[in-house]
Amino acid sequence: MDPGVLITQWLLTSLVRGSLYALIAVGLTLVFRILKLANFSHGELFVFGAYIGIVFFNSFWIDNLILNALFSYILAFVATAALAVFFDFAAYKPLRNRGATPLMLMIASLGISIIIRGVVQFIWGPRVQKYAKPPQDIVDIGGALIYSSEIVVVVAVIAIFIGLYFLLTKTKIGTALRAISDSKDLAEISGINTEQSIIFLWILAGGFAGLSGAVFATISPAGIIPESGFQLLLFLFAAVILGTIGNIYGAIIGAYIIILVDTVGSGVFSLLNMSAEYSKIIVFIVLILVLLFKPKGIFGGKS
Amino acid sequence: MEYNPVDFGKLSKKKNGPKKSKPITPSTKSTKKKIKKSILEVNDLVAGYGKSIILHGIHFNLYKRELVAVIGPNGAGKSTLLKSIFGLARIFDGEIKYNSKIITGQRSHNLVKAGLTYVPQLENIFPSLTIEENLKMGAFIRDDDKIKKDMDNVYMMFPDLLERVKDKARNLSGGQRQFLAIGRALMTNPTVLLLDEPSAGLSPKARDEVLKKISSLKNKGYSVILVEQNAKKSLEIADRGYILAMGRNVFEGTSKDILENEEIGRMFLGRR
Repeated sequence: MDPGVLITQWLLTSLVRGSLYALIAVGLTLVFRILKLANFSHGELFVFGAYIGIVFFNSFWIDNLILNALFSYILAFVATAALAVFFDFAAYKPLRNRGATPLMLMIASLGISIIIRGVVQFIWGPRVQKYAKPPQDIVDIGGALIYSSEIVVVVAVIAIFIGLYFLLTKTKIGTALRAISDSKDLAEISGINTEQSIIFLWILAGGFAGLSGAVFATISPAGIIPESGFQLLLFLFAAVILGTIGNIYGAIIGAYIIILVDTVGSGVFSLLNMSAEYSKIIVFIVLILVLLFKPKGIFGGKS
Repeated sequence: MEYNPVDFGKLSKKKNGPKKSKPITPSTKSTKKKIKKSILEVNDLVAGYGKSIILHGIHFNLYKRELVAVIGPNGAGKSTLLKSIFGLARIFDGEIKYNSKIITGQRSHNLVKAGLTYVPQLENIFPSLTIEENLKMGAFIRDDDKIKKDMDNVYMMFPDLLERVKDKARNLSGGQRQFLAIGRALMTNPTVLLLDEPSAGLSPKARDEVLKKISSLKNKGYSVILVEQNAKKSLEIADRGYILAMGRNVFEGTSKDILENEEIGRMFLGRR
C-alpha cells in the first residue's frame, strides 16, 4: 500500500477513535477534578450506553436510519446519565458526606464497575453486540477510506467540545463547577448549591460516556462486549494522565495522542505480521516516557 | 433586647476598680442613638469539632453597623466562634440568634440567603477562576437586578481588582487576594460579615490597607465581626472588642477600654 495513503488512513482512523475516547476522557477528568474521584467505573458507563444504543439502534424502532441512530444516541445519553446520577446518590454522595478519602471513593467505583458489568451481562448476555446494518456509505479521502457517518461523528464531537467550553466558561452552572473544583468548602460558603452542581456534573460525564459508547457500538465493526469497558479504561487513564489529570483540554489532546500511537502501532505491527495487540506496549512506553520528562503530564505546572 | 455583659472581666474590676466598672455598651453612652438593636447574638455557646469541645460557653453580641474585633491567643476559639455562627462547626449547646431569630446549626447555604457571609482565613478565593468569575460566584444565590451595581461597587472599593478583571485569581498578591475574598463576600449582599484573620500572612503595608478597607465597611452599613491575631491593629479600627482565651470570654469592652487597660495590654496586646 502507498505509504501516503497508509498514513492518511491512520490519521483518519485516529481522528474518529480519538474523538470518541476524548469524549469519555473529558468526563473522567472532570469527575476527578471536581470530586477527587478516580472513577474506575467510567468504562462501564461507556458499555452501558453502548448496549442501550445498539439495542435500540438494531430494533429499528424508527424507520429512518439517521433518525433511528439519533434517537438511540439520545436515549443512551439520557439512560447513562441517569445511571451515573443514581450511583452518585447510592454511593458517592453518602461517602462524601462521611468524609471519604479519594482512595475509598476509588474502591467504591471499582465495586460499581463490577456491578454495572454484571447487570449488563445479565440483561444482554456475554455475546458480542454489533450493528445490524452497516453505517452508511464510504467516502474516499486521498485513497484512505472512511464512513460518512464517521465524519459526522468527528464534527459532532468537536461541536460538543466547543459547547462544553462555553458551558464551563460562560454559564453560571459551568463556572460553579469550576469553583467547586477549586474549593468545595468555599463554594458552599458562597451559597453555591454544590450537590445540585454535582448532579449536573454526572449528567455531563455519564451522558458523554454513554453517548460515546452508543456511537462506538453503532459504527465499529468490532462490536461491544460487557468487558469492553475495562479494556477501555486503561487507555482512558493513560490519556487523562498524559494530558494532566483534571485538565479538560489535556484529556482531549491526551486521548488523540494515545489513540494515534495505538493506531500507528497496531498498523506497524500488522505490517510486520505481528499481533496488533503489541501496540498497547508502545502506548504505555510513550506514556511513561512523557511522564519521565513531564511528571504532571503535558499540561502540568499550569495549575 | 438588652445587652448584658455577663462575664465581664474580673480582671478589670480588680485592677481598675470603679473606673472600668461603668457599662461598656456603646448604646448606653450615646443618647442620640437610642437603644441599639442586636443583629447577632450568641449565648452560652458550647461548640467544637467531632467530639472535641473548643468553646466552653461563649457569649457574644453584635449591633447593627458595628465593627467588633475578636482577639485572643492561638487556640482561643476565635475562628471556631465564626465557624459556629456560620454552621461549619459542631454545636453542643447554646444558641445563636440573627435578627432575633434562632439560627443555631443552620446550613451555610441558608445563612448566606439570610444575609450572613463568611470569609475564611484560608481558601477564601477560587484560584483558577478570574476575578470577575470569583465575584459572580459570590452572587450565585442572587437573581436580583442589583448584581451588576454591587460588582461595580466592589471594583470602586478595590480598584486593584478592576485592573485585573479577566486575570486568574491565583495571580493576585496577598493583599489583593484578601480584597477579592472580601469582595466575593460582599457580592452575597450581606448585612453581617464574618472575617477570619484577613491580615494573616500579609506584609505590614498590605495588612494596613486591608484593615483600612475593613474599617470602611462599617460606614457602608455593614456589621462586621473581625477575628484577628493582631489585637492592637484590629482594636484601632473596631468599636468594641472581645477577648477570648481557651474557649472562654475573658474580657470585653469598647476598643478604647481594652487598649487602655494595663493588665489586658500586658497579657494580650504584648505591651509591657
